[in-house]
Amino acid sequence: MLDLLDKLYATILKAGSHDEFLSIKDALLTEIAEIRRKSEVNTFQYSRLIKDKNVLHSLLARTSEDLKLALHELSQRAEELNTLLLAIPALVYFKDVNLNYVIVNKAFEEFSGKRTEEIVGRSAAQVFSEYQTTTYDQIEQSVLETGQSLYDISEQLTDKGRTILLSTNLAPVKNIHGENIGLVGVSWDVTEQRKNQEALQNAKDAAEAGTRAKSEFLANMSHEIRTPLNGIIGMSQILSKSISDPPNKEYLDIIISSGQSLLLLVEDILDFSKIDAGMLTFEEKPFNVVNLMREIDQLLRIKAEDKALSLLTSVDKGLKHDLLGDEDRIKKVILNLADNAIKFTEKGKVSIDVTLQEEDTKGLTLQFTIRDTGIGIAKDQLSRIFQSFEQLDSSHTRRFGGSGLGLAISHRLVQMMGGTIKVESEPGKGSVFSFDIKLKKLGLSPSKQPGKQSPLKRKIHVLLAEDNLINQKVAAFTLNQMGLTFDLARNGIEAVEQFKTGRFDLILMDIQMPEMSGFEATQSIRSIEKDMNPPSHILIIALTANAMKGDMERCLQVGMNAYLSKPFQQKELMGLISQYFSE
Amino acid sequence: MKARSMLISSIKSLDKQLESFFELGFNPNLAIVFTSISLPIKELMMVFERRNIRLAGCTSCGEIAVYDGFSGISEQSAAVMLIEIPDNQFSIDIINGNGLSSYELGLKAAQQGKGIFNDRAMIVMASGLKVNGQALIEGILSETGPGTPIFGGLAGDDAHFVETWVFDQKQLLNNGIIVVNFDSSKIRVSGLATSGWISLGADLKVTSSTDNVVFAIDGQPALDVYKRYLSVSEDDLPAIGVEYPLMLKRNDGTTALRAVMGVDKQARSLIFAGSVPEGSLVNFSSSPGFEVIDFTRKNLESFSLSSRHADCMLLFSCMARHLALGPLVIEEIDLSKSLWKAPLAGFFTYGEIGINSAGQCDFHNQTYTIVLLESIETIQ
Repeated sequence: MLDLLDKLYATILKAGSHDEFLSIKDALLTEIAEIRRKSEVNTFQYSRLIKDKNVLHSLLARTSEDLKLALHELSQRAEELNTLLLAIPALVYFKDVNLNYVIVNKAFEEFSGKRTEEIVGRSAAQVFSEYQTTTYDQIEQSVLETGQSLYDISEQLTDKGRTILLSTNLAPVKNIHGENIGLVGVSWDVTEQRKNQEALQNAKDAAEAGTRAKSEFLANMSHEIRTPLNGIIGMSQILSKSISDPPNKEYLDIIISSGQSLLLLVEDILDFSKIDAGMLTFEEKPFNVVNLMREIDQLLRIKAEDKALSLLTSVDKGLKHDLLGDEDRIKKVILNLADNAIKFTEKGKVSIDVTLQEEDTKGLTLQFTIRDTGIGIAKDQLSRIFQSFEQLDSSHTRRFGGSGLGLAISHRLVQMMGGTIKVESEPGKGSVFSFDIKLKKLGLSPSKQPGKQSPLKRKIHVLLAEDNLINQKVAAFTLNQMGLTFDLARNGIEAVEQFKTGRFDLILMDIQMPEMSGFEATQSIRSIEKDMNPPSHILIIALTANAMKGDMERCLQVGMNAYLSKPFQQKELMGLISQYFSE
Repeated sequence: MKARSMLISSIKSLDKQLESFFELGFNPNLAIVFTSISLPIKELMMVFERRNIRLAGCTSCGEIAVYDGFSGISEQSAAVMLIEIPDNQFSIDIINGNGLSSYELGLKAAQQGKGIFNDRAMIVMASGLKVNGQALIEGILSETGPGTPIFGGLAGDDAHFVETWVFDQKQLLNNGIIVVNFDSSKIRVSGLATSGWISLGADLKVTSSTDNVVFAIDGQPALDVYKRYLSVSEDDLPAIGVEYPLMLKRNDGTTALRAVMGVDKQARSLIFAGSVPEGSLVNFSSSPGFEVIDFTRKNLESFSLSSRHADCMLLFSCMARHLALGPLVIEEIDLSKSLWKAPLAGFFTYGEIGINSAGQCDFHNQTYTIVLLESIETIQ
């Protein structure tokens, strides 16, 4: 602008006269207008710059204050983090993208036996000269490449003859732009921990093996005890038929009833041991409550009638479905409770009622109620009635017998089937035991009527496969009593051979036999049947002293139709036979 | 399309100018007008109604026009663009915003003009100092989809920040929107929004906000943050907040400038021209100085490679550019004049709508938004 003013000044000076000045007036005005315009711009620019400067100064000052504060906070955080790093017992380290240490903590220094200055800027291979680091380097490299953290990487190294186990977590470190700038690692010495874990595992394995051995022992013992007991009871029964002089007959009856009590005790102890060892498993098989109650009625009726008690059983009429559940266990609980009811009732009646409590589309809840008019239970004793080995009065043991395990077993069985068991009682008037169980529904089915023993319509010829001489005699006696004829096979091979003659309606098959077991014999028979023309299917009933659940399942698996626990009762066999042959 | 623009300072001179155009055989049927609140707006509207010229207008904060080799800006005047085109190539909708959110207002405006043309372009002006320009454009785009060219500006009131208006020849609204829809198969509408503002200082975090109202930044009342960082008094706002707006960093990596439109001294909150989501990071921003004109030149030159011709132009330039460039602002206006040599009418706005150099239609502050209108028959 100054040059414009100079130019204007020179032009005015040059104007010598008024006329000359007038002739350049327009040019002068143009120049002045230009100067004015430029001056206006300059003035604006100046004031604008001042304004911008003021704003920027203020912003700079405030931002600096903010920055100072932020730096102060940051250094405080850094100090805290440093303290944390120092205090932390794990090894903590930061590495750059070349996997050289950038920061390590005190625990790391102690572990490596080197000072920070000897570690920073070096790789793991340089710091731990005896340590084979290739694999580990690869893992770290993968963390850098994928950007993903890795947890609990196991690392083993040997230091001064000692093997050290480390567990390491690795995480990538990113800058504010999200780029990987390295990683952070945290390692724990887990040598002691692993040792303890191993010891614990060993102890657990040993304990489990012990439990298994105990249960196997119990199962074997039960088998071993049952076989001679079977003999004692069976032979005594045979003898009792042929002896008529009163004192001897009485002695024999005592032997038989003592044997039967002993057998029940053995079974209770076996059941209880299995519950205790957690070995009891439950089956879900179709069954019909009406049929179950018929069977129970049959089993109990004689005992009740012996004591001149009336036995009443009833099933809710609304119960039309076949159900899914463990029929044997339910039966066991009902029999336990009902046996007790009969045992502790001198006159009056015992009733068993099944009622439908709840029903929806999938399942239903049944309540089983066992009422008696017996001696009852005192209030203070009700609470401990379901505990193990508990009979209310030790005098009861003498008077009524029993292991004291029945109620405890029932209680546990109901619990394990997801139900509850309850008792109400008034001494002198009677007791009410009830339990409920949730069961799944199957389709509607008209209940069959197999339980009722109807007279057999034809002669039945039985093949008895049994190696044990005493058992043979017991079985023979029972079969004779039932009016059945039979042939004997002493092992599985004989059984298969005899089967081929085709003379039999039914095979009673022992499981444990020399040469060929009952399982193998059954499989063999079933495969022969397949090739026969027309195909046939003979009824095979297992006779087993093996009360273990797995064996029963296996009987059905290999193709047997049913099983009886030895020594089998005439009623049980009769029930089964009439199911298959009475129609 | 025939078009002429003018800058008038009174209703009388408007009348006279129109008469002289008619004598020359120019018969406009569409007028786009940007006027100072100091002119009698109702009289202005009647001038066009009387002559049966469809009108779309809004109030301004300084007016701009280029015609017959003249280019100028003025105050307390009106910039008028007169267009003669077939009646079936455009439509105008004016909608009252009372009871509607900014988004709903935008949506309603877009729905009203729907279906008249297969494809359309929109010129949009909105009034109301609480209008959220961002929500408004989102409302429009939700109906039109992203392909529709939309340009326009938020009305001004000569920097009083009290009341702004939009109008057609019959209605005058202090809270509403006016839209001119053009048939895209007949009229080509293109344009560019260019800013050049730069961010200053450290990132600040918006700790409390609802839509376009910011209550707290870094835990401090928003009004106090402006006062403290820029060393200004409460009365300097909102004007200082137009010159030094916030630059908002969006999650997708783009930035948007947010000028202050209003102040609530009681709540110590600031009302911005567009949404400022809670949790977002912001900076203060400023014009880089007079060099911003060079930035505009480069952007316009590169835009002119794809849009070489115009029958007429509209300019929506932020009032902050006027404040930042002072008398030099005319140099920036002359850039368009020399590139396209067509009549131009425009105004200094409180906010702009337009397509940026990334090709996205958005709501802006601080931009120079040039819009070119061209009859497609002229192109062929």
